[in-house]
Amino acid sequence: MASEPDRESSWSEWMAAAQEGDAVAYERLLRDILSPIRALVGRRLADPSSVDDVVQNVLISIHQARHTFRPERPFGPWMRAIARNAVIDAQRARTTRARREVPMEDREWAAEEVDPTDAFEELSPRMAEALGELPSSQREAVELLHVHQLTVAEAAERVGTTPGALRVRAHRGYKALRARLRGERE
Amino acid sequence: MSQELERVIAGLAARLEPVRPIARFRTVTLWVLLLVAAGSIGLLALHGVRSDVVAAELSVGFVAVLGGLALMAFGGLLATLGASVPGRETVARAGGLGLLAGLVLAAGSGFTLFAQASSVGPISADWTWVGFRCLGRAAALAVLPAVVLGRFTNAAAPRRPLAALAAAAGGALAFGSFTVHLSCASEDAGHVLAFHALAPVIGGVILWLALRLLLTPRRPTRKSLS
Repeated sequence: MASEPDRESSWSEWMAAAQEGDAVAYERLLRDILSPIRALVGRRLADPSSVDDVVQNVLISIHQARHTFRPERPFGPWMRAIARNAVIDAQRARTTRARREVPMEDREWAAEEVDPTDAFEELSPRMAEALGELPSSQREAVELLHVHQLTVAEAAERVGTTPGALRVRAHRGYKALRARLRGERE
Repeated sequence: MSQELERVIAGLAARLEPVRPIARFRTVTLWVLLLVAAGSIGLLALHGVRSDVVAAELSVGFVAVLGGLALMAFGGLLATLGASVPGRETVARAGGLGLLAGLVLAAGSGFTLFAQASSVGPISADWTWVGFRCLGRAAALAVLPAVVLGRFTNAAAPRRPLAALAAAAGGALAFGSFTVHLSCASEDAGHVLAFHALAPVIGGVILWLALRLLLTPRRPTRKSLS
C-alpha cells in the first residue's frame, strides 16, 4: 500500500491530468479519495445515515472547484478543506431542518395508524379524479409519497430513478393537481 | 461503494472538461501592486507629496495612520486571496487579522489625533469637499486593484464570497488611502480620521456594493450539476 505522501503526490498528479481533461486519471482520483473523504465525513457527522449524501456533495464540490487546485501545492489540504466545508453545510442544513420540523408525536393524528390502502380509498372523489388525470410518472410519484407515505429515497428506489428526479415529478404533479382543483372551484 | 456514489463518480468523469488552474497568489499580488504603484505615481506626480514626507519630518500620528493603512491594504489582499481558494484558510485568517489590526491602528491613531486637537471648532472645509476629494481619489486608485481581486474571487471558489469581496474592497481602498495620506496636506485631525484612516471602511462599503452588483461569485451546488 502506498504511503500517505506518495498517495497525496499521486492525487496531485491525477488532478493535474484531470485539469487537462484526462477523464481516466480523474475517475481514478475520485475513487482513490473516496475512503479518506468518507472517513473525514464520518468522524464529523453525528448521523451516519447521511454520510453518503455528504460524500456525494464533496465529490461534486471538488469537481466544481477543480480549477482552484494548483498542481504545485499539496492536494490533501485542498481536498480536506472542501470536505470540511461540505460537512459544515450539511450540519447547518440539518439544524435548519430540525428547527422547522414538528416532531411526529406532537401531531394529534400521529397516534392513529394509517393504512395506505384506506388512505387511497379515502381520497375525495374530486382528488382521485384529478390524480387520475395526471401523467403516469407524476401520479406515481404523488401516490408513493402521499398515499403510501414512502420517503423520497424509498419512492425513488421503487420506481428506479434518482431522488432528485422523483422530487421533480412530484413537484410537477402537485402543481398540476393544484391547477386542476382550482379550475374546478372557479 | 454505493450505487449512487458509483453513478456520481462516473457522471463527473464523463462530463469532465479541461480547466485552466486559477492564477497563482503571487501573480495576482504582483498585478495589484503594479496597478497600485502606477496609480500612486500618477496621483503623486499630479498633486505632489506632503512637505513633511519629503523632508522626512514625520509625526508619530501620521506614521501610525500610514502604518495602519498599509497593514489594512496587505491584510485585505491576503484575506481575499486566502478566502477564495479551499485549503488556504491560514492565509485568509492571517490576512483578516492584518486587516483588523490595521483598522485598529489607523482608526486608533486617528482618534488619538482627533482627541488631542486643541480646538475642534466649527466644521471646516476639510470636512466637506476636501474630505470627499480625498475619498474620491482613494476610490479612484482602488478601482482597478479591487476589480483584479474581485475577478480572482469570482473565478475561484470562495466559501464566503461576500466576505472575500468585502476584504478586496477594504484592502483596495486602504491602498488608495495610503497614497492619498502621503499626498494630502490637511492637518485637520477630523479629516485625517474620517477621510484617511476610516476611508477603507466608508469607501470599502461602497466599493463592496459595486463589486457585489458587478460580480456574482459562484458557489458549488448540487443542483447546477443535476
